[in-house]
Amino acid sequence: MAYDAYSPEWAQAYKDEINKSQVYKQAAAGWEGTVGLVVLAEPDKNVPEDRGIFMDLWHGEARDIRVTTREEAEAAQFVITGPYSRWKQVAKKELDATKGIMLGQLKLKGDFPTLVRYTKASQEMTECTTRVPVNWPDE
Amino acid sequence: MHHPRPCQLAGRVDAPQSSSSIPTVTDVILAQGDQASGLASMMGTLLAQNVAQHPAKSTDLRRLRGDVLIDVSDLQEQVTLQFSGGVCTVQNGAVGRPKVRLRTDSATLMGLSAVRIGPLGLPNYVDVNGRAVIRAMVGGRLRIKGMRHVATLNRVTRLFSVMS
Repeated sequence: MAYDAYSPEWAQAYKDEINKSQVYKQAAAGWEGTVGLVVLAEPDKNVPEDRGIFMDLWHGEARDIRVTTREEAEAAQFVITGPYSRWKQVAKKELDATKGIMLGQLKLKGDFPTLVRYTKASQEMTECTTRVPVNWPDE
Repeated sequence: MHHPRPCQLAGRVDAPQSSSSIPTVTDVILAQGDQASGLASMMGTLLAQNVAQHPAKSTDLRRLRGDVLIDVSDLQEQVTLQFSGGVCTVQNGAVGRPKVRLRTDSATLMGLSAVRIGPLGLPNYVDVNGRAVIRAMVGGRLRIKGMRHVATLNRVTRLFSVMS
């Protein structure tokens, strides 16, 4: 079953996928903190408004993942911001999120040394995204 | 024509502050300011925050002299770190005459920051993270020119290590 992109059902499926991952559980064992993803609007791709995804991650577990406003997502300790089409590329494995940050295609706000320590965990989170089937608004 | 203004990066300290402590501001400058590349911005921010969180690293920052080029092959991006007088100026692209040149891929570059620093201040190349760096060198995924500047290499490794 495919979920509408960035819908509450998608967020639940993403959370379930993270919590199923033994790789994530191990790699993020010491992680404490919230992560916000900001999806910038692209009206020509049927994404008329900015969206936010707020993730409460704790010691290898996703305690909560929910679709929010941009402002709520920006209140997280770590915030990654990018246009819809970049996030779609990440979810389709066409763009590695870390490379996207290095290329300035995604903007990261937060404590870089902590994120570098948890590179494997963030890679697995991206892998989990790719395992959730999505109905994209521009397809 | 817009001329970018260099901007100084402030390392942010997330740990709770005591009343007597003040957030450390490290001397890291993005030469191209708001037009800094993603790689320059990331390397500069990582360095500024890392030094702010580990003030002992500022000794290495003060002692470093010269330019270090980092060439990230899979991104086709380069960044030059210019160390002088306790300040690191991060330049987009290859600038000046770097005495140390690292050519690597983005994943290995992240791995370099995972190298632990041993009790004598030397990078630990025998644990799992260190061995990954050695494998990258042997396999050609990490090429270093200017190995004779070993003190510079060790200082840069210490500055960027997030595992110390």
